[in-house]
Amino acid sequence: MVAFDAKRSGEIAINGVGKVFNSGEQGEVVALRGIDLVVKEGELVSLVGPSGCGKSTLLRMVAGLETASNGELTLDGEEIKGPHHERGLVFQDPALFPWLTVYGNVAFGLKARKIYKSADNDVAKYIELVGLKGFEKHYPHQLSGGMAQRVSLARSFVNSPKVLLMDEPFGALDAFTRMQMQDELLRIWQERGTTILLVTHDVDEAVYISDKIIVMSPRPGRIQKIIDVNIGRPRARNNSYFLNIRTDILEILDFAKKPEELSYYL
Amino acid sequence: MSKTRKTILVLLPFLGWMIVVLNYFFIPDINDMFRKKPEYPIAVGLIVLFFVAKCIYFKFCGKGKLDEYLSNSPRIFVLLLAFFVWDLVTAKFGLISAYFFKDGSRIVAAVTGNWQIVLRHTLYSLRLLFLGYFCGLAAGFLTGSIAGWFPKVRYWVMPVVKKIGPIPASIWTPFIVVITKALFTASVVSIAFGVWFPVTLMTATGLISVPSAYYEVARTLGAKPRFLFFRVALPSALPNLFMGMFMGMTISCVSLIAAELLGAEYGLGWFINTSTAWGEYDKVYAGVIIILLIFSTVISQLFRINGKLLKWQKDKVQW
Ligand SMILES: Nc1ncnc2c1ncn2[C@@H]1O[C@H](COP(=O)(O)OP(=O)(O)OP(=O)(O)O)[C@@H](O)[C@H]1O
Ligand SMILES: [Mg+2]
Repeated sequence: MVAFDAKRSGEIAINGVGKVFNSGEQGEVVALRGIDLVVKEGELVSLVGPSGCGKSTLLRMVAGLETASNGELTLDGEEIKGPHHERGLVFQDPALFPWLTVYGNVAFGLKARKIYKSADNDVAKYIELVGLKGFEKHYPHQLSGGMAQRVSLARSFVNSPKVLLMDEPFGALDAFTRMQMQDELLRIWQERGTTILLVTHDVDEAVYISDKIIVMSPRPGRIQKIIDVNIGRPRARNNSYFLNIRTDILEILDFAKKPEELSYYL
Repeated sequence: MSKTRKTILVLLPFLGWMIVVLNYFFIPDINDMFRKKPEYPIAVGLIVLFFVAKCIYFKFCGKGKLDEYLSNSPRIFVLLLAFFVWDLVTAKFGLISAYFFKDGSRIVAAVTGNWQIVLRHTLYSLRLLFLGYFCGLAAGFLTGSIAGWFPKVRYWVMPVVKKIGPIPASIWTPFIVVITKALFTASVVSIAFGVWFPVTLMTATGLISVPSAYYEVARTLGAKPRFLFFRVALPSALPNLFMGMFMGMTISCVSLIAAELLGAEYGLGWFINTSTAWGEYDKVYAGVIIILLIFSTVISQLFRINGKLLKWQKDKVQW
């Protein structure tokens, strides 16, 4: 229903970005330092890294919810100055509006942008896409964590943003639904050419869906390595090449040496 | 719920009514000068009738709410028993002073015997109450919204609100009378003032405590400030807003009576006061009961709207 031009841009450029939080008693927290990254239009890039390395912070800066302490962020050459519906963000915690039904939550973006038409809209389509058909009239408190997470996915999809920022979007889902959602995401991504920057703790997920994987290290958050995943699509989940990349990433993250932490991240 | 249990619950209020009526007609009063009339049985019967009407309503269009409503039946029964005991203590055995304490039939007679006058006072009170309440509500909502939304305004306004708000509105009435020059306006203003404070405070608090995540989500979805206020901040603050409305209603009850004692010549407050002065305690009770009925009706309607609008709440506060 929404027309997409093939040359839809959406290139994110992050130049020497750093973020320092001034958090009262603990003093200054350097969350990120010297981040240089270009996500080309239509690219699907994953961010992996240990907890607290600044993945969410980076995503929030691209979304325009946080300002960079230094460096600059641009989208298609234009400086990012604040939130915009072109840069959709799926939050780590679904944060659905409790006073709206599933339908109301998904339709929120269209209504906020004053382009909602009650007859002809994509709301039902996206609710179905995330497997919640029949739950339109439910309130968030009547949903499970995974269902809420899927509503928040649909809520971002419906705006069809140029750039989709996703903070552990499938974290609360069971293995099977997660795979399903990954495939849906890939389908939407291929259909629309959306630029996607996605945070994940699941290395297999990163390898399965991304063009590039950014491995970050903590305190202060820096980019440790950028890995290109040169596997053709559609990919098989049991590709042997997967294992190599997976081992690479885990080694970079130093997990090979600290097996006790493994269970937490996987 | 089993059928027998249901039947018993439906019949219980009838039983209560029978006890009250039989007691009224067949046990002689200690001072039997009062002519027995059907008003009292009818008045008490109205309670039962109301109960039955609601039962029928819930049975046919209440979606299984009948059982829930039927749980009120023992309460109604006990209320009617209380009437019975009260009548025994007063009219039948004269255990307490007949001058101060009137049995049910005399209280009902005080209404039916002067119904035009009572109705007139009631309407005056209602007019004052609603004018005052809604003016206060509108003003409180406005100041609360502005103070809750604009931090700069909040910085200056909230300390003032917090300082002058808790002072009983009646303290201001002398000034209000001087300023407004008209007694009725002064009464409206003093009630409105009492309502204004809790509504302002709760609206502002509600708006301030909206989780910032909601704003962030909304902004990344393309919401502009106006939309953020009306579609995010207000709905999120609605539970607090209702709290303010309830508090305001309680306060307006108190200030209504206070306002009517100012020197007005109408209203239930005045009616009660004057009746007390004349020693007509049956009218005093009648006035008090009417006020009680008005407020319980208004409050229960507020609850109904509250329940409808806040059905999305997970752990709704149970009152
Ligand atoms: N508002 C804030 N005030 C102060 N410090 C903050 C704030 N937000 C984040 N931080 C700090 O910045 C660092 C990075 O946080 P961030 O939430 O980006 O981590 P993350 O990589 O997303 O972690 P996780 O994988 O656990 O979600 C942390 O050390 C955190 O304490
Ligand atoms: Mg995070």
